[in-house]
Amino acid sequence: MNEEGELHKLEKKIRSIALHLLLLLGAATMLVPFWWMVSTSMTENANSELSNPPRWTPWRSGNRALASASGATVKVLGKKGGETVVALLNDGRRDVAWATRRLQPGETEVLLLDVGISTMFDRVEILFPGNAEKLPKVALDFCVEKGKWDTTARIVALPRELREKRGVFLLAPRVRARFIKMILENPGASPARFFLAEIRAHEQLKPTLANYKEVLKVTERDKEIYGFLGRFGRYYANSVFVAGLLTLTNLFFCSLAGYAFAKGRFLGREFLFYGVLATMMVPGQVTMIPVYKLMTNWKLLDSLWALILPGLTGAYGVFLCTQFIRALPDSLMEAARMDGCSEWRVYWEVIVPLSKPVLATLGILTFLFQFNSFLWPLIMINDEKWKTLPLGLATYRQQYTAEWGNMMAAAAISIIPILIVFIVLQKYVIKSMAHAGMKE
Amino acid sequence: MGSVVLKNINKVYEGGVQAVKDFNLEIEDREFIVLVGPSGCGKSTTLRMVAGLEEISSGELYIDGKLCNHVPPQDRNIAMVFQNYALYPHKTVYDNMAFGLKMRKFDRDEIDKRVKQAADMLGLRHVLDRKPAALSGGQRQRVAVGRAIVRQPSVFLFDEPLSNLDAKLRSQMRTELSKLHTRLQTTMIYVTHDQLEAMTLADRIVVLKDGITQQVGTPLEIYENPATIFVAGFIGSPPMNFVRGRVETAGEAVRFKTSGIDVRFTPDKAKKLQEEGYVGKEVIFGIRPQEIHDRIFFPEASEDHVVRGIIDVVEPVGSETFLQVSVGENLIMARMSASEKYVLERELELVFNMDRVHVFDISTERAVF
Repeated sequence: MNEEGELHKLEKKIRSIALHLLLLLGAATMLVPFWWMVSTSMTENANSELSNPPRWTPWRSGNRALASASGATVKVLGKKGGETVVALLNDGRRDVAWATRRLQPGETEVLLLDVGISTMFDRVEILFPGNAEKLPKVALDFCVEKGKWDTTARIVALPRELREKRGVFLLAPRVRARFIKMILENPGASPARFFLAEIRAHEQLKPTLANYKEVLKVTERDKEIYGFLGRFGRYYANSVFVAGLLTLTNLFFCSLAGYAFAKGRFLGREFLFYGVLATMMVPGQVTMIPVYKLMTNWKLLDSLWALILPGLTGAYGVFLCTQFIRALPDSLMEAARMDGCSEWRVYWEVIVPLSKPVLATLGILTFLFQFNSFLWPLIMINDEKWKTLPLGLATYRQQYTAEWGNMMAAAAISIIPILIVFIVLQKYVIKSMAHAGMKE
Repeated sequence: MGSVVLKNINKVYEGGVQAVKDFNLEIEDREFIVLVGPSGCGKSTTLRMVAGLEEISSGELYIDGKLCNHVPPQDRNIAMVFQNYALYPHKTVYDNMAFGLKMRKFDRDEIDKRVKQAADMLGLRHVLDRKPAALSGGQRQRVAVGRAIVRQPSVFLFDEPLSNLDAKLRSQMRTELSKLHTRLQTTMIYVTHDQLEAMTLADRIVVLKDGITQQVGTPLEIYENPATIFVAGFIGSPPMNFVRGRVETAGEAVRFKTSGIDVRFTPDKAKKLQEEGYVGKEVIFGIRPQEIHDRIFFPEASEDHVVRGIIDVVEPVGSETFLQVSVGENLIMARMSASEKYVLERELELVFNMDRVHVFDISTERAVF
């Protein structure tokens, strides 16, 4: 008996653990895109490339091959103009790095290699394969100056004892001179083939807020077009205004209509109610063009009113409110009436406070829907000034390029109002769940 | 000050259901009127018509001499206590009680004074800042009453206010309501389906059935002289015994005869039966359980009042014992002293108190006496 009890307890425990694991798994799955957004928004130089497989962290450490071994060449180009063009690294398809250096007569110890491919690496190594005795290993030490294109590096020859180590090495001038001489002495060999194994980049990145700064930056030109808030600020303000106003009007009109449908006694109540419900069956695409025509006729194109007017109230909200208010006891309203309330006071003093749970739900839904709405604003708004956030976010992605870092930074900021609305209203939603089925 | 007059009031719902038929009642100031009846008898509808929550189909309603048929509820100077209390869940006890005054634009000090006064009267002082959900059933009930009191209306309406309470609390609140009435000296109209509440609280009782007034009278009048079979059966617990039988004469005596029962009416009752021509006719004979006694305690009782039966069911309730006795083909409920032990299947001699019997016409169901 006791053993059975223990077994039962164990089973219960396992069930609970399994359930929690499942829930955590679900939560993790839901959080993956969110994490990617945040991570990308904090990644430096994520703008121009979208790596595949995607990168999951804004910080990185490790080696990455830039040029493959086979066919990589170093061309020694000889003198050109006042400068001495020394080397060009080619991975077989395109030039990936080059170095120029104006050499003083007799100066041979330092070779500067300009790796133009990217500013994101703080160290590049060039490894020579084959007979390591004869062909010295070369390390490039980037002297990174952020924001400048002319990132330079020094080629240094490694003594044998340091070959397997990584890092920046300052070598004795004799060794360096020997290597540089080796290159300079063969200017005629075109292209002089150095058996480059690979060029490896060593990255060391830290999370950065640069993307956010970039997004929030307000230039003078922005001020001219978008006003003092700048481009992003303007999108933001437009969105918050439209979604906020529509949430308020929806709460007001839907609860008012809900009260009438739920508790009012008037001719044709049922007919009207089902009429309202029926409008939910009509897909938005059907009404889109007529409403567009209407807005054009009213000359409301390219204004926020074109977004606000069609969404002032909604059939779903009316339905939601009606169902909820229907469940409120009649005697409360009668008591209020006996207490001296006018119809309006009954609505305001009794119905609205008691409908808080459903209004919270409706508020969240409406705000979310309107804040994320893309298609309708896309149709109605062409003017940069009146674009909403979803439209604005889309402008970070153009036909050939996508500024992922900026886009994700903007997206991350745009989530804030939704979070606030949810956090403020969630306690009512949870409360309503807790109260459901309890007699009052 | 608080008189209510209902004249030929009718209520017909959409769809033709008539809930109240030709209701007439004059309620004097300070009277405690109880409308009682089984569910669906129209008592709540009547109350709601007085409150103004239900439209009056036809007839006239006067409150304080003023025709009020179309006066909205908030202007009738009445207050109502609802069955489910109808407290505002989102307001504190204080605000619940103050709300009616606030809506009527009383000044803050006056509201505070009245609410505190009512709270003291009802023992709610310490829960004023709680929400209704944090109160016990009895406290909620008191808040509902308090909300009515603070308005100082000319008429109080109670719609089955005690039906949600447990038995013990109910009797306690009943006493409190009775005291409250004495104290406030205001007209009260009270609806209940519980005849005990009606009996203990009312100055006058109105018994309703199917929307028709059966009888209006003081509790004792109604108890002792029920006008119809329905009233007789509804008022009093356990209910009156009804037996169908024939009125016959045997020499000078007028007797009631049926299976197992043959009893003689007292002279005045016999005279009435003869005068109204019930002799030889079938009637319904009624007697309350407490008017039936064990012959052990009345050894000298006349054989004319004795009925013999066999004990069918014994229901001891402590203070007394109820017996179901099968008399011929009839079952008779009798109330006996708890001191005597009764055994099932035993034969028992019962004595009917013939001063307190009732006879009803079989077709009209109205009482002869």
